[in-house]
Amino acid sequence: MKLGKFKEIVLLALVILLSIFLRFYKLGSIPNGLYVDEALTGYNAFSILLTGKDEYGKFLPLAFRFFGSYSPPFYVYLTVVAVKIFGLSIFSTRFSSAAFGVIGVILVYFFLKYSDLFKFKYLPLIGAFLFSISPWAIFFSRAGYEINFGFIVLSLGILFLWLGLRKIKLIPLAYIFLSLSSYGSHLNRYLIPILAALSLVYFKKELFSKAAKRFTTLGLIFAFLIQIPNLYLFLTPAFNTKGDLFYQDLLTTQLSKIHGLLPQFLSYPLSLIREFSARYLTYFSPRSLFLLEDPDIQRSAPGLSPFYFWMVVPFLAGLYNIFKERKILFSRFIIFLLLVFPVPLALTSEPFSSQRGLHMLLPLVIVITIGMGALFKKYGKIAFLFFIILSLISFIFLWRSYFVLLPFERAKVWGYGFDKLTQEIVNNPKITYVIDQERIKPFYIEFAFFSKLSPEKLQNSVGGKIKENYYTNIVFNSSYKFQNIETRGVEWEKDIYKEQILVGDELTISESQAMEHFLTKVFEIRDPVNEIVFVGYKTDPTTKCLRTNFESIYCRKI
Amino acid sequence: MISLLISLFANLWIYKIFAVNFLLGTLVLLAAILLVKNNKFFLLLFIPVLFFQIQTTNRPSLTAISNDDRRVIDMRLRAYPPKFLRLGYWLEERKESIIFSRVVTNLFENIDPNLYFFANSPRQRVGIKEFEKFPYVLLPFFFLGVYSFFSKKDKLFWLMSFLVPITILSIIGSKNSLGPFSLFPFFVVSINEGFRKLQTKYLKIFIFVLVLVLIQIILYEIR
Repeated sequence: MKLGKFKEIVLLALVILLSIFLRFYKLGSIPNGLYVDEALTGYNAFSILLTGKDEYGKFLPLAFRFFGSYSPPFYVYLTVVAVKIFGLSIFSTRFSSAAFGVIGVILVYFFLKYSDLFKFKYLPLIGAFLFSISPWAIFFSRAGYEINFGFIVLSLGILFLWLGLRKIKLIPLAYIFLSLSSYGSHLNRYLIPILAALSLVYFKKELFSKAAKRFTTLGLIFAFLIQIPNLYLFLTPAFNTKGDLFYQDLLTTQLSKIHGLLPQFLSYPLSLIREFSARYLTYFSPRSLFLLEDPDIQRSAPGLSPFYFWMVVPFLAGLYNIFKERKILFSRFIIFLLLVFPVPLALTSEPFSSQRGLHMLLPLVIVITIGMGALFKKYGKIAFLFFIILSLISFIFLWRSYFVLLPFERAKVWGYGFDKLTQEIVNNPKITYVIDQERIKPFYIEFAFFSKLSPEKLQNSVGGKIKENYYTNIVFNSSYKFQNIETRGVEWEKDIYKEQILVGDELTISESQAMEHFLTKVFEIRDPVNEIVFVGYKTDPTTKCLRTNFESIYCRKI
Repeated sequence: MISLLISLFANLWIYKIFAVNFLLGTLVLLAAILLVKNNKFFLLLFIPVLFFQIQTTNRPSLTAISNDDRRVIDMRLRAYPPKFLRLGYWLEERKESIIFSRVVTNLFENIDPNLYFFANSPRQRVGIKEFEKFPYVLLPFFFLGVYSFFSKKDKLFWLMSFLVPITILSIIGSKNSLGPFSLFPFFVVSINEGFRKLQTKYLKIFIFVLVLVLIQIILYEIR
């Protein structure tokens, strides 16, 4: 082994170690809490492990009903293994996602290793390093739901597609992994058919050459066979639960503005093209990529954008170089990804979704790496020195935003306090708790997770109706009743006349309501910022009835 | 010629500038024309445009801390472990950090293509009335023009028309009812260049589409 090769392996090992550290350090406590999507994943994995059925009693579902969203199933099944090894915990729920985050680093390395754009030896290592420290990659690697897993399987398909364009025997693997990735995350269900179809057109020369034709056909046949469960789902309402994300209302508003001056057959396409283009462009906008947090505060760390601000320079340099070398196959491949990947995103109403758009991370990291390579080539050691200094500064920003501020400021949105509330309820098995569901995320699943509730109990609480019409009964109801809890909206006319504890957030029960109905505060749970997350009030039906001269019909029982 | 006319006049921005200040409109227009011609007298007209930009922009302080900023800083300082409190102070409260953060924000707000072609949609800023400065059909020409200029050797004025205003805007911000109008010549020359490069044989169809889009964005603006 040559020293150069040895050095490369050592450096790659260091990058992988760094990525392991950034993805696994305090994984069970940062993010601080357990987001409901994580609770669904973890508990359903636990339920599958113990009973082979999900929370509704459905045997090995093709898509999990999760609050009516019918999430692709692979990540839950993968989490079964982690739950088996580590037990049901926040760590085990996030484990597979973090592990796949590390695999992503290796994929980026190989992707760049076999590129033909730059013959710069350390380019794959730089790419792997940039991916490993990317806030976007780290954030979703540490979230215990399917999104990162779906992204990495998709990236594996993309890697094989790229390798397959050079070595035709690998083409079937590309379409197999791409097809499999549609069971990894929601977006892939829509992206993969578009991507596969357009790849056949865009790389027609390579994929349908005399030698490659049969491998491409074989890959497509396998891909089709893998899609059979999805085709079955396609015939049910469970497939398209995200259809309401399209911005039809916005188009209607815009149409009303043009109405009268332009005919409908012109005004609709014009409005659609404008909205589509604006949303498409925002996934390349420096402001969205290098400055702003995600519009949804659950999906980013305070003050941290998908990439560090300084990466805008290699990003622009990368775009320039890729376009300049657009005749080279690797550039064509990256341009293809950049053009196709935002298409489904531009059809959704969210202004910028780092979660739904996670797959953009792959081509964007490649672009930034290419730009880095171009800057190294042009400015040599000075560029390298800047790279080192700015990377070190990035670590400080990452530490500040992700490891200091996120667990402090965003604890509430990440489901902080559900474990404490569960403990309170478990400690008092004889008291009934009513958990208000107006603003609080569905509590039943958090309770099931933290109390390690026997899956049979939860399955029995929903009855057999949902199980029988699993893929057609898509309306979710967060009202549950099992053990000593009820999750629903507070019914003021009834609930104050029963001996129980009403639990809500800081807005559910005002002080005047508490006084009026003789409610006594028995506990409150606060987040690290010291804001109330949950507050529990004990009812006093006897006093209430006495003071109101037994006016209510519910006083008769007392 | 047609490319110059389109890049100069087929946009709402120039009319807005003229409507507010005729002198400024004339200066911006002439500066853009001279920049297209790569004429050194461009600078003579560009300097007053920059002066107008500085004078007419509401410049928030780069260091002033509002009550809400204070609340956030205090809250964040509580998050730091005691042994890193000094570093926390540097990151959250030092004037240098605050200035840096505001300059970076101003910079990225002004280099965002969505600001110029889509009235910042879909991520409009709070408290700022956004408007579509150029019709979005000109966006591909703009990108092509920027690419083309980057590949050129003689690009000093073009670079200056971007770098000088963007530096100033990063410091003064963009709270101006006319937006970052000192960048108008840069956009005109880039779109013009892109249009020239992409000599389209479907010019009539393109102009028809451009007119439709102009009607669309004018109606969005006034209704």
